[in-house]
Amino acid sequence: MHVTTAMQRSQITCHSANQAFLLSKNISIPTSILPVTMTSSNPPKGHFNILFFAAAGSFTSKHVESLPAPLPLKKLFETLEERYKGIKESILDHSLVTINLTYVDMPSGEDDGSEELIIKEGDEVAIIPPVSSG
Amino acid sequence: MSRKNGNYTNNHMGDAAQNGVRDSLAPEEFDRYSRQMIVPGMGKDSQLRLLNSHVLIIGAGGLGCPAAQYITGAGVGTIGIVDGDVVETSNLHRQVGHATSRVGMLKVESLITHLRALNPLPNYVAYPFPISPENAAEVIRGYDLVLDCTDNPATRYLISDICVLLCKPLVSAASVQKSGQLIVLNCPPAPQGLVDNKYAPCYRCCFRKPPPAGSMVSCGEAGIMGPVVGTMGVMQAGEAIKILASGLHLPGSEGGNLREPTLLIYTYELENTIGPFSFRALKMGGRKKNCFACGENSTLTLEGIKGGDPNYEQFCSLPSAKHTLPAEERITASEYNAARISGKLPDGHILVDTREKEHFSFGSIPGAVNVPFGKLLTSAAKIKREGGAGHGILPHGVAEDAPIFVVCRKGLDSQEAVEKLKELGMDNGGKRKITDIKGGMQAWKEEVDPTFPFI
Repeated sequence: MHVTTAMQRSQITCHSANQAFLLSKNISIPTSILPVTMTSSNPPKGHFNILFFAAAGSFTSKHVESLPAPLPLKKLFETLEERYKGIKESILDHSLVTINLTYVDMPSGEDDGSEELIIKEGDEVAIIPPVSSG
Repeated sequence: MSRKNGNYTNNHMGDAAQNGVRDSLAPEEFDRYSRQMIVPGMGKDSQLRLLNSHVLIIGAGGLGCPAAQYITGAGVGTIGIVDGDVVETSNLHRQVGHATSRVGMLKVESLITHLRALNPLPNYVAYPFPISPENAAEVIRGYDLVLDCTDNPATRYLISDICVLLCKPLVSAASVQKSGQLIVLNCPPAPQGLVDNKYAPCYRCCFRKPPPAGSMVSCGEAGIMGPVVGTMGVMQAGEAIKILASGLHLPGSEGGNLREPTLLIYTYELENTIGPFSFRALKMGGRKKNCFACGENSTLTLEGIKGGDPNYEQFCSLPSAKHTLPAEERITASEYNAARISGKLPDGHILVDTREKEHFSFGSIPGAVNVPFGKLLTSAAKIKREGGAGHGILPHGVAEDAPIFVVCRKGLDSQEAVEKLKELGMDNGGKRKITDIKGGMQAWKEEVDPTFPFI
């Protein structure tokens, strides 16, 4: 069940191939169905992308957003709370956070001596709340 | 099939074969499993491990049905199924192990009927009751591997805790609306307290805290696409078969073979039909040192769990932010309707329906306008952040002093919507009335219009 960043790249390729196909056939795409996808395109210069999965996406009404980089990981939640009031308590406090498809521990507030993680330009951060139903 | 103590068992292979460890295949098995046995990496030993294994599937719903089909097809020797529910018609679009003719039957009984038709050889054990802190250890103890196919946070924590204490690998999947998650936990299994970063995580290592009660929606409430939950269930079976065939569940398999724990996320997009598939595999960490269940100072015990410590229900029902509005800000559905019919609703009033647009598309109270709750919250947050008039939340052309009524599906979101509108100053300091319709469209169906298509 390993889908690596290579897969991610191939998704983007396949995605643009789709668009290329549509363009080559001179088919216009209504803006309402233009891809607003999890497989986000590269963030603008000086930004990172943040993906909102499941309930996080419902809360923010979007799947992806670009935020200014660099940003210390420990400032991530307050940055999001400024934009989406209530998101910390409703979503972030019980969600997983990944950077570039890898789980990261959220800093606990007090200085535990560990090296400070900084979200860099071009990174992809994801907010993943648990899903419980079945 | 004989029925003992409420369990269905299938004794056609003979007791000797059931109690002892199998070291050869019967001709019927040789034929039945031939196509999977010749796959590179499988072979006779792997098939025998499947035949000798005991798998417990907890939940016979949207995940459990597809998972059970493939577990059954693959020739797992003993398959236990736990579920206390009965089959309903609204289950059938996704719960492929049931049938229209079995609506009303216990799900375990219905699913085993289906599985037995697929493959009569395995030994099926039915547990026609919900998993609980009192029964979980007893039920799980006799199995080699557990599939969590349940539908709520409390049972997910309970099952994971028991699997840690009994050293059982756990394949956990979940799905709602258009999202699915899959993770293999506690595999290879290691005793509680071993933490030097080479042991696999448990559910609590990944999700330390449950979401606030009320924020979690069930498939019944939020909806679920059949292929999404089906995909997750099938993949669950795939992971389970891999673990069993390679013997990773057997004692002594730990050490040296820790696979990188991975959380697979599937996002299915209905809005973006030309988009790419969206699967993401996220690298998870190992066991957490301070994990409540498997960490080094854990005090979790089987006796404790059975006796109610920890209290899973309480842990998963932390106070939510929902309020109850004072009586003067509420009106019942029948009162609203009476005022509507007799023309006593205030002039120029507006009725805001905060259900999602899909619900709204099946019908609404005459004159209602749809402002989905999620959108309302987002607009409210934006107005607070960037300034601007709260009035922008409402459709164009609504007078700034028009009294507002708010209705939702079951009466919770509408109360929160009333509070949000007031926070934005839309009550003009109390001069404009904003009223919640109690109990939402559910109450409307019960009190006013029994034919209303409530979902």
